Amino acid sequence: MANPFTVRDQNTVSSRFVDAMRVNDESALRTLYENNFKKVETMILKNNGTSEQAKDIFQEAFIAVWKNVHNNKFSPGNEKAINGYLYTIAKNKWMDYLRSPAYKKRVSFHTVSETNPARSVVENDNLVTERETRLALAMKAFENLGEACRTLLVKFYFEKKTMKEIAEELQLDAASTRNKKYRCMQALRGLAQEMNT
Amino acid sequence: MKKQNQTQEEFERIERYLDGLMDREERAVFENSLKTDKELNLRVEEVSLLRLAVEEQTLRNKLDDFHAEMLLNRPAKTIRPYIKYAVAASVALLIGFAIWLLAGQKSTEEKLFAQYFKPAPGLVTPMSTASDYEFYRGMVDYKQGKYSEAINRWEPLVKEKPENDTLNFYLGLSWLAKGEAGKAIDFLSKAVTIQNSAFIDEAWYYLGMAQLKEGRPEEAVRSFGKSNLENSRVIAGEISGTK
Repeated sequence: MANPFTVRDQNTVSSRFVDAMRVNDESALRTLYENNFKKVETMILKNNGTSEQAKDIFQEAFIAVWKNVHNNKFSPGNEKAINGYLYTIAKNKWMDYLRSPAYKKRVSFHTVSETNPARSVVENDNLVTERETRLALAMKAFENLGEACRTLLVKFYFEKKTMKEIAEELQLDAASTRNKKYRCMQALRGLAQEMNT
Repeated sequence: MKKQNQTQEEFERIERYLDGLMDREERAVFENSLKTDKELNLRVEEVSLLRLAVEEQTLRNKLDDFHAEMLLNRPAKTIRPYIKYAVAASVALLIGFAIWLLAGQKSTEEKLFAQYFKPAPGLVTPMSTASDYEFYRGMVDYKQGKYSEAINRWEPLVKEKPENDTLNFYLGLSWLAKGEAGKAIDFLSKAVTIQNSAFIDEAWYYLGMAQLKEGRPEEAVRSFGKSNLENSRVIAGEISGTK
């Protein structure tokens, strides 16, 4: 797929970008990442942060933008709008962290905390919804899933390939591929439920 | 959520609902049962959450990869100008010392190896290889020079796919970069037997390098002879010249 950022026409940038985000087009996501990290890092380094913390905050902001595009909560008008949005979210997350008890405690005791600042804010403000907790557990479950299932599910849900494409790649017929998908999802479900209890 | 089994039929029905693939009639029936069946609501919610978990976790892993690759390509700007000269001077000294060491103590083969060996650049990691999750993660390690980590990720994969040219090639290179020429030869001699490999010239070249390092120059010349790379001709010439 063509990189959406190289398109000159402003009208097509927006829809192309949104499409790229929806189908998780890797080169578009990478460009967005590389074009925006530096500015966020500079802001955080100037405000008592480290490069490692800049990475955490930036990635949480990136995920937030990605989710909002997926849920139609944010439809960027152009590339500038996305970059500005990403920066603003990162900045707010960092300011929240600086005001958070986790940061204040860290400063007063001079301890070096290895916690992810982006997440500790959320935890401390008690903003974590039950769904978010379950999502975090399900993501951990996914990391613990067997290699074959992980690869298969990535093809379906991240790469958004069709049943036909995946069946061809695996050299299986459609029925076996569907059954594999079902069994992998049940395995993931089982792992997630175990972690939840 | 209860630990009850879900049938394939129900799972697929829920997916059709979430993806908007139901026809109007099926959808009406399904939405009707959603109104009355609280458990079904939870199960729809669960499938939707699990699908998001797969997608989001994959993205998170990719962001880490983007980050690692971005840092690799980023010039070290933090070094102040005068430090830069100091560093350059000490690097030059070190290189000089290394050459003196190598020249003084190593065999001709080792000298040639040290002169020419440079690990091949890693693969760009496009969508097609990204599906091979472990392979892709290993490639990020490889590009960062973490050869042992790359080997740990790839060795289980090559057991599953012993005929994969890419895996054999990069495993061989990782061992060679670690200085274990014997192990490198095992994988590279496998890599050169694989038909239609895109790495064939490189594989012969690095096999030659590994053999050179092992002090087997005759075999090395033979391997270099099978590679169409310019460097292969140059080194083969140098080996023959020293004999």
